[in-house]
Amino acid sequence: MKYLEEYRDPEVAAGLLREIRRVVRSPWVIMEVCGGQTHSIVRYGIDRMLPEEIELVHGPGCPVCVTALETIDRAHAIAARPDVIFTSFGDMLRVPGSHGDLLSLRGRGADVRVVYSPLDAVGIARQNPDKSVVFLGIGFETTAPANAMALVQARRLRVPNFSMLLSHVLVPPSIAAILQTRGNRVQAFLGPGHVCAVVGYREYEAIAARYGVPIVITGFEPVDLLEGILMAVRQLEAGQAVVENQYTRTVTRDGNYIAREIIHEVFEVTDRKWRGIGAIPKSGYKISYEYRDYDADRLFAVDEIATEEPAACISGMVLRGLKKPCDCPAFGTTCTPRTPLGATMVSAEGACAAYYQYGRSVPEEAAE
Amino acid sequence: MTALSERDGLPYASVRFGGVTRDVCLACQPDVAPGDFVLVHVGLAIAKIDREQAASAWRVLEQIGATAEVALPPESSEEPEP
Repeated sequence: MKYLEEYRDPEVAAGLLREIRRVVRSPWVIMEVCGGQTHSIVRYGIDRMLPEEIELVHGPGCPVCVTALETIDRAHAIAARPDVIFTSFGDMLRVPGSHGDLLSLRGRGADVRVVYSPLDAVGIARQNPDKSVVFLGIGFETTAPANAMALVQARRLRVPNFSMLLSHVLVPPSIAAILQTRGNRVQAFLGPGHVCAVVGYREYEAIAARYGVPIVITGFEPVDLLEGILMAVRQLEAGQAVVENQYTRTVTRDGNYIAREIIHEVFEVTDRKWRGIGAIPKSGYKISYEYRDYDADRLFAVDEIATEEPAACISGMVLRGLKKPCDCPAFGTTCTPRTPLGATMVSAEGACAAYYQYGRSVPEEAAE
Repeated sequence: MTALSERDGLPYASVRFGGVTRDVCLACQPDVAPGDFVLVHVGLAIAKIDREQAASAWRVLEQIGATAEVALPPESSEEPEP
């Protein structure tokens, strides 16, 4: 049985690298979509092991990073209310909004709590019937079933004091938006393994065909990533553009049927603004009409929000694969994980945080 | 994955992550048993890790590792079906 340790086997990784070197003929730009993949690539130095023909660029797959500033500011306004217990994932609570991060509200008496799962937030609501418990639900398709389950449970168990401020994003429209960006350099994608474990990869087949790009659904261990890169390079060299599944031990073409059913019961597709990228049509989920009594956006009136992004932050270009974190003058100087200017420096899945954590303070050419 | 249980009408299991054990909701992955490996995201099991696929994919990778230094023509280097 091969699950995790084996997928870090240095001998197999070396064999894959040799095969990549043997196969590659032309220069190619490949984007890994998911922030977890970025983290693994930087951690193991996979991008620096590859032949010089292959450039990896980092994608938008960090849900905390792309959550719109307006959403964080709205969350800030709700969390500051004395009758509210505000909950979310730890990374999300540390992302700077226009007026500081959500955890900083604790110092002003707000009840802001980190939860491991949205289902835990429903439990907090049941334990605190005199408070309004709000969960800031963010994420890609991977997180959607858990957020949807929390709403199903809240309704089934009749928990009227639970609600969710939802800001879900979807991967396929973001890939299409990157391919439509003026100056796009991406020629192939390593698709997001965990997202596809939930929703499958049929939707990616249409993108591969329409835009003529290879997409390889890929896992997160070094051997997974190297095999995904090899599969992408083989397609690029052969002039093919189809979806292949490297991550067969976890991903099937149709994903998780039950999870997809729950998502469709609770959420509807909507237009969504992405931080650093802008509005992308039909690129998010909103809470459906049937679950409107649990929609914090509807339940809490918030004054008009005037957002303010730090001028120095280039995270939008990093998220679209146009710049690397170390291209930013603020990287590692005025922007660090302790004093982040942008969300990509906060989240464990953010490219800037990965570069900082693994000592990538200078571009590759300068480091050699 | 170890012991199965139920909480508030939902199926749960204890899942070991390295040295840490957590309760994980099985509502989206009910067809699992103690001893199985599951992919967990924010407290919910979202996929079962397929042992046969894992073993089969690994055999392919081992073949690549063994043959990578041999300069095969491209048409001979295709992976067998996993």
